[in-house]
Amino acid sequence: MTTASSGRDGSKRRRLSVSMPDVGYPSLPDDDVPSLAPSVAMNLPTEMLQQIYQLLSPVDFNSARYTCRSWFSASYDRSLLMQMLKRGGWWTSVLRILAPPEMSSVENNDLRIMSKWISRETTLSDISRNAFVEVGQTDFSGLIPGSTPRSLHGAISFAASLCGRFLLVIIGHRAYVYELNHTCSPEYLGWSTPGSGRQGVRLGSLRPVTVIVCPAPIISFSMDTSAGRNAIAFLLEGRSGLVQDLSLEKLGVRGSNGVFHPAVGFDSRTWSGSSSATSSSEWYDCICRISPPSRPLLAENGSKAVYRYICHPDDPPRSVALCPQRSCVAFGDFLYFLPLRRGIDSAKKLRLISSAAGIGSPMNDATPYIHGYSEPPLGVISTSFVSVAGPNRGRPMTQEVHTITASVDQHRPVIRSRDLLERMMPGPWHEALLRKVSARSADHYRAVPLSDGYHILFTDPRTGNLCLGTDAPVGSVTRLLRKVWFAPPPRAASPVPLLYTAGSDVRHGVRIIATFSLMQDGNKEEGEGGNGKRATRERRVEDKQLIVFYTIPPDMFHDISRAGLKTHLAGGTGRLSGDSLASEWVWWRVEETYHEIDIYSDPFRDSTVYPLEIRGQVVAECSNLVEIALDARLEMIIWAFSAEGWARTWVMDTGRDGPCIKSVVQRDGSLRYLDQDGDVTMADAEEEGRGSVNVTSDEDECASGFDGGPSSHWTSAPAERISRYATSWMGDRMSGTVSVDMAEEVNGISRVDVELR
Amino acid sequence: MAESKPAQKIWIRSNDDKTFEIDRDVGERSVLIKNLLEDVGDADLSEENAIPIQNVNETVLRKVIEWCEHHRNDPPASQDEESDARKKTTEIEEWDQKFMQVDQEMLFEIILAANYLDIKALLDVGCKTVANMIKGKSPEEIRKTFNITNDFSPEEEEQIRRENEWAEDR
Repeated sequence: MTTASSGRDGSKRRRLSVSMPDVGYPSLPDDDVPSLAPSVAMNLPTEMLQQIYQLLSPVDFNSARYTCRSWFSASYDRSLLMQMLKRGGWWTSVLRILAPPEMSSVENNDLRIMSKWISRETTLSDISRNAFVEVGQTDFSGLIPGSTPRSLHGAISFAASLCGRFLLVIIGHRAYVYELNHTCSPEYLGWSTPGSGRQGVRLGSLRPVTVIVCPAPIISFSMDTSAGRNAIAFLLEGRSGLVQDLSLEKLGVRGSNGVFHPAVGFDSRTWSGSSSATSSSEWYDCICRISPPSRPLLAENGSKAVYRYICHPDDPPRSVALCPQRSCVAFGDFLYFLPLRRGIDSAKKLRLISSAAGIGSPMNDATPYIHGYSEPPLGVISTSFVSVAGPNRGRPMTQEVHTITASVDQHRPVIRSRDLLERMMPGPWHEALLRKVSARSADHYRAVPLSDGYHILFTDPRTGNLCLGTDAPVGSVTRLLRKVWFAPPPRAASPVPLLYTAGSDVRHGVRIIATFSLMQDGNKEEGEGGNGKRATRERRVEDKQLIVFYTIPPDMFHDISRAGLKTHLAGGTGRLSGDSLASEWVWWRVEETYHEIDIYSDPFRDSTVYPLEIRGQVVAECSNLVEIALDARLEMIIWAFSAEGWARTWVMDTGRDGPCIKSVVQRDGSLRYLDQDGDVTMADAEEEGRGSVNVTSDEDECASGFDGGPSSHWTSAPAERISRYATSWMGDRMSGTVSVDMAEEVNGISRVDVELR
Repeated sequence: MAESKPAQKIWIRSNDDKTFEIDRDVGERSVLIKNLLEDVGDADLSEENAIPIQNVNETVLRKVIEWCEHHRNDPPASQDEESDARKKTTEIEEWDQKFMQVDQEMLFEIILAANYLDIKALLDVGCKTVANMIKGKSPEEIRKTFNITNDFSPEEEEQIRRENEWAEDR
């Protein structure tokens, strides 16, 4: 029997007797189907195929249904698709995406979304494949005149903002700011319309934003726009700091007409469910069109605040953290402000973590870490500042927090957060790192908060493994409950992750990328003649890293976020039980991807029911990476930055063939696209002529304002040292403005909670 | 319901006219046969009046009978067990695994016969066997395993290739 139906495009199409579902796929008329040798498998009744499908994991189901028409047709069943989504742990995602039943006009559209989501998520979770394709390469060597690609080791450094939205390229005093993954419309951020067009800068390319010239070399920076704080805090040489507001026009923000722009507050909590309309004309007026990437960067002219005499001369600060929701900045060791917890924290609640990793790169001076553990590593006092700037409550106040760190490199070089490899020394540096990690330091080691405000990515101090945890329900507040640990790939030389970050959008699960040192191939080394040792050393200097993508399905994340997970897991045994209340994903965790581990064996002896193990998908191999960034929205965009002065970009492979965008950064910070022959494209060349005039004048103006003295634009915020271990610091008696709850300090870890009233 | 007698015989006939004499309790593993027996009554049971199994040939029916004889004393599956979707696909008892070591055409014929005869336990074993053969394979490997021809049109292939796409690039 054949039937005619009208497709989405209005064209008539016919369906076969074993019909393809009407999901918008083109179908050939019956007589165009080539005659086939009869296959029993292809002629199985639909209900029988569905019975077989019900015995499969989502990954196997997804493979099986794409073998032939009849098998695909049989897979297009609502209850079956629902079952697979639940097994994969993706059901909460689809519930977010699907329109409410009363608004869902087309049943097939729901099925199509469900089907596509299964395909997407199985591709991302299948560790036997690589779901990513490279879309961009960027050469930054043009920022340093006379340099050549891959010769910039140590001369240039990269750092992504905590929100993953911006990139800072730091050269000495200068910080070039670029926007990663710019899109024009917030509507694009919605997930409910598969097929909606992406408007913005080309995937794999950057949008130049601004350049900031600081009065001293930049040590570290902090930026997090997730709550609308469009500013960057710098820690500079000479115990000074700078907080630079970014001008809204450079960010493309239009505040007056209320039009929402993704450059501000792109955090999921802000725009979730947003229905703000953006017309096509507004797209046309987007900052990426008004100021294309080929225009030279203009110096930032937003307001600034400078901080001087931070900490002590013998123990200078090593890291800075800018509070994303308030005018507050903190200087210390590897600091992060924790995002607000929905329903718990008010905007006045500041939570700050400081971790021993801020001591700097383990490769800065590996020797003490290798040999130093026979000696007590403790005893050095470092200092953190919590400078609470209260613009409406008088002068700024500063809180000094003393912490005891496990070790301190007195000859502190230029340190960038998470810049672990810049000063890598030849030798078994990862062992050094592991030993360092194994010190008697507590949790929060190299802690990176997730955007939900509850969970923290950190390196397990005992094993070196990358873990996801939350505050332990009992015991020391510096202890973290390990909920998930991320297994290194088989080819990793060490379980210790070198770089890691999480996508800020966690609505569809937690997406994490991490890099691991690539295991050296011993056989290959031996095959290189009689110089095997030398070859080994050269390779380690080259520092090959594996970029690994991990995903925690949203249902799993939801379940492990709940305090009552114990009811889902067999209490005390750590094994998943037959509890009928358990979510479906528990029973269908693909062994190769997720499995629970025996928590009674080291190294997780003190865990109660966790952690769950998650394995990842290897995306690429790169050398000398110093920074990574992940945009966990639609395209799943991964950026990797090398100390050699280049960046590479990958996105999820959606089957579209397109050239890898190659772009080069000019001395003025602008971008030029290269064609396949490596020549600058004509359109860009034209822009170059127009823009270059401004560069010199702007740079001159920019440089003149930073002669080391105070600028007329600057607001001085002198630091005021108050007290030590001030659990009731000022707050109770000083106008009730601030109270501080300081977590106990263990081996250089401190947690600070500040309540502003 | 007819009384079940241990030695009572019934006769069934394949679609290629081969008649099998089997014990009644073996035959009643099939819900289809069991219902037919209840309808016809004991007086009408004879070799000449064998129950026709129209969709199953002699070879397949012989295999099905072999399975039913082995499992003649199995207790009926509980409702919980039947609805338990969490059973691992690898959980097939050893005898059944050996029983299912047949060529693929026979495997699917057994599944079809089990479906037609309404022998749920046999159908489950057959489906589990197929599921285990699918496990861990790519679509192309599955095609090779089951001799499936890729009959998607080029346009459909293109759509499948882009199935992971959520928003189109401009």
